[in-house]
Amino acid sequence: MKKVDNLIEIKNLKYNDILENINIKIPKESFVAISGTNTSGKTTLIKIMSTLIDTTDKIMYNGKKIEEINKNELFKEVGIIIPDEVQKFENPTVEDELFNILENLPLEQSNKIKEYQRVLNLLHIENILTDNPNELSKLNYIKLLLGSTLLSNINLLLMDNICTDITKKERKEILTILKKLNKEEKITIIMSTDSLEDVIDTDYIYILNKGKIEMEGKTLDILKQDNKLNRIGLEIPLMIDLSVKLNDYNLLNDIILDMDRMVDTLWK
Amino acid sequence: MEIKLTNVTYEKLKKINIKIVEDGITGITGEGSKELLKILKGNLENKGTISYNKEKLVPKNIQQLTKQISYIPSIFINNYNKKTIEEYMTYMIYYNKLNIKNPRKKIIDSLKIVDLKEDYLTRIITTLSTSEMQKFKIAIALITNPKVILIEDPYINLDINNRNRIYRLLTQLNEKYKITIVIASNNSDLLYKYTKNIIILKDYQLIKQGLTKEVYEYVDLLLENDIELPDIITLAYKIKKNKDIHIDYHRDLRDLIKDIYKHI
Repeated sequence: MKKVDNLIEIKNLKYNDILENINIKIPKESFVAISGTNTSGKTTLIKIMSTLIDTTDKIMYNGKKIEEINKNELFKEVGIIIPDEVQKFENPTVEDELFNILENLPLEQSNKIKEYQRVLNLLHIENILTDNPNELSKLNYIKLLLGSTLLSNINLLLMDNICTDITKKERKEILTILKKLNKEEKITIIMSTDSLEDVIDTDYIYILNKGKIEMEGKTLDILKQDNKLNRIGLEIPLMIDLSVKLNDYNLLNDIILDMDRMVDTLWK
Repeated sequence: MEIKLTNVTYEKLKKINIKIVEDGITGITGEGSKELLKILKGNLENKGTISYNKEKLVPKNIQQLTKQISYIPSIFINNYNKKTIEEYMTYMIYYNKLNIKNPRKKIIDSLKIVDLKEDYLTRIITTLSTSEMQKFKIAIALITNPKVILIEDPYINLDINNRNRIYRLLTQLNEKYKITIVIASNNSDLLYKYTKNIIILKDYQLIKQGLTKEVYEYVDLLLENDIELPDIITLAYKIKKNKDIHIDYHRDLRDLIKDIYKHI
């Protein structure tokens, strides 16, 4: 029997009035979503997981109590992207910003070049290298933050609301990158978002409501529960909503996310 | 109040010809939408003409006309550095020399319209939730009895229930209080659902304006210009195009499903 290690384990966490009875297990190499509306507590939960907020010993990271781990060592492995915490970049260009991080890595020069290339290829950021990092569009800003964390060779990525204020095409691009990071680079990803459109590629989802975990399970199983999700205030992605309703009408036996495939299936 | 822009050119916006009607909420979307929304507040530095109810904007009337227009930015900035809702709104009335006989009553009435009860007077602004903040911003805008309210991204960060509440409020302001409402947003799904009229920009130029439902059916034109479509439109379009089926465009998913059912 294969033993699945949990990268993060949270037992019975309570935090002020914001979170209560939180139990979470994040398996290594999984892609987990934490969703809920604005006041659900999900941003606080991400901040606690990234140790930006201190709590007492309810969190285990890779089998160890998180407060027994050296913070500097932890931050080398954990990438944290919380865009609402406004960050001002010090360097004049995107390239300088990335080089700055590369410089401080304990790698041989040739490996540094390899790392840099690897990040450029993953994120397609060649066209913004000479841009001012403080004047980037939301998409490119997120890409820069992703680039910065990737150079540090993280194995856990924590993100909060990274897909707000971007177009559908841009969202698709970010989610494709994240999928690649998870499946190919084997990075464990925990993504907090209030839009269920963002979670379709995740393995597992926790739905928070008023500080408590109201639903959890395999993502597609949870997304089918439209009534419950609507009551919480969350909107189901169109294709899932459509699939579920067409299943009810016996016109479909499946959940189909791709529009062209849906059309082909309905009219064979 | 009807607003008309004739050949307006300002900064990146080029030769904009649009009309904002009183009937129904109007959405502006695309590159330049926020800039265009700001111009509607009254701008004399552009080329071209801006008219409010057929009255052309000139230096003589700009003060009087712009007093009737309220602009709500997406991020609230505590301009007067006041702590509570009542302190803020009272100071605002005083600072802007608005001739209001009974400021407290006006504030309570304004809050009432946006469904915030009197106990909100003592609420500390930094403790407001996203939806409470949105309502508060609209209440501030209502103090001056505006004929036009311009809002940046009114639905951002709101869950469905709160979005619907804000939409119902804006609709009521438009239908019952006859206030012209214009919103700027880049979310095509929300615009399709929550606006009656739409103005679509691309690269600071007008692509199309008209009734939202009709404009979003010009799918080929919008695709040519790389303009984002509501998902429910894209789906119906694919059904039409891929399978040559005469399905209609629908705003509601249930109606689309009924239509699909008829054609299977």
